[in-house]
Amino acid sequence: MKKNEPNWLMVLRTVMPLGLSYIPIGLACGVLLHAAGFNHLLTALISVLVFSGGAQFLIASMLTINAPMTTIILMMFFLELRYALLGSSLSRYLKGQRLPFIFFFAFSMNDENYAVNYLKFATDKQWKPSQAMLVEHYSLLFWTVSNIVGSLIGSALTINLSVVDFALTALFIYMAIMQTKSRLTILVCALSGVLTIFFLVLMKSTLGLVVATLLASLTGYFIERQLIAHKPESHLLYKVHDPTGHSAMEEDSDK
Amino acid sequence: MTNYVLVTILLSGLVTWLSRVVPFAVIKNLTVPKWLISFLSFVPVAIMTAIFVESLLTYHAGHWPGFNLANIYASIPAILAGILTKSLLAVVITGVIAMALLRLVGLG
Repeated sequence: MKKNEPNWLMVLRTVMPLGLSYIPIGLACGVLLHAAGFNHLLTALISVLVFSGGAQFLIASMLTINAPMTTIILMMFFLELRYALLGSSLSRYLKGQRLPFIFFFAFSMNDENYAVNYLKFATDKQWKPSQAMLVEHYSLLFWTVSNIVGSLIGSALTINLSVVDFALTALFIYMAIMQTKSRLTILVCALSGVLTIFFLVLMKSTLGLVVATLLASLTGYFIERQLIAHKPESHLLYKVHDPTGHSAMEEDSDK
Repeated sequence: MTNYVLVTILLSGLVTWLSRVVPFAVIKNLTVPKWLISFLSFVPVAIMTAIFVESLLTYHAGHWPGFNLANIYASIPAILAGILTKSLLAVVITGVIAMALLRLVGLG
C-alpha cells in the first residue's frame, strides 16, 4: 500500500474489482427493467432503494406476470431476510456509531459490499466504519450508473419481448445455480420446483410461490438438522463439485 | 401502471431497508439463532427456483396451467452452461440463442 495515497483513492482501489463486476450485470438489469416497462427514473430509483440484482429481477418478473403487490412484497421480505444475518455479523465492528450512521449504513449494504467490508474489518485493524460506508457508496454508484446506462441502451434497442422473457428466466437459472452449494440444496431446488407447480395450481394465485418456497426451505432446514444430528457422514451434505474450480463465495471474499 | 410500479418499488425499498437495519438497531447484542441461519440459507435458492419454474408454465383462463415447452427446451442448454461455466453471460447468451433457434424451427 502506498503511504501518501488519499483515502478516497485507497478505498476506490479496494472496491474496484466489485465495481467492475457490477457493470455487466447492472447493464443487463437496466435493459431488462426497461423491457419490463420501467422508465429511466424508476430504474434509477429501484437500483438505489433495492440495490440488489436478484431482488430487482424478482420485482421485474413478478410485475410482468401481474402478481399482486402483496405477493411481491412478501417475496421481497423473505428474500431480504438474509440481510439480518449479514447485518448481525458486521454490527460488532460498528459498535459506538451513532444511530443515523447505522441507518444510513444499512441503507446501502448489500451482499457484495458486505463481503468486501467484512473481509476488511476482519483482516485490517485500520479499517474504519467511515471507509466501509465509502465502499458502499462507491459500489452503489457503479451499480446505479450501470442500471441507468442499461436502461438507456434498452430504450435505443427494440427487443423481442419473448427473448427478454427468456433472458429473465436464464437469469434465475444462473442465480439458482450460483447458490447451489451442497447436494441438499439441489434437493431443495427440486422440491421447490414441484411445490411451486402444485401450489400455483391449488391456490390459483402467485401466493403459491411464497408457500412453495417457504415449505421447501423449511424441509431443507429439517433435513439438514436431522442429518447433522444423526448422519453427519450423509452424502447429501457433500459440497457440489464445481467444474470451474472455484465457488461464488470465494470470488466474493478474495476481493 | 407507472404509479403502481412506483409504489411497489417504494415498499420493496422499505422492506429491504428494514431487513438491513433491524439487526444493527435492534438485535445487535443478540446472536441470530442457528435454526434461523440454517432456514434462511435455503430461502434464496428456493425463491430463484420457484420463479424459474413459474416461467415454465403458461396460463389460460379456466384451465389448468400448461407447460411452456419452448422455455423448457431452451432452459436445458442454459442450465448446462450454468453448471459448466458459472458465468452469467454464458447462461443468458446460451439461453437466448437456444430460444432463437427454437423459434427458427417453429417450436417457440
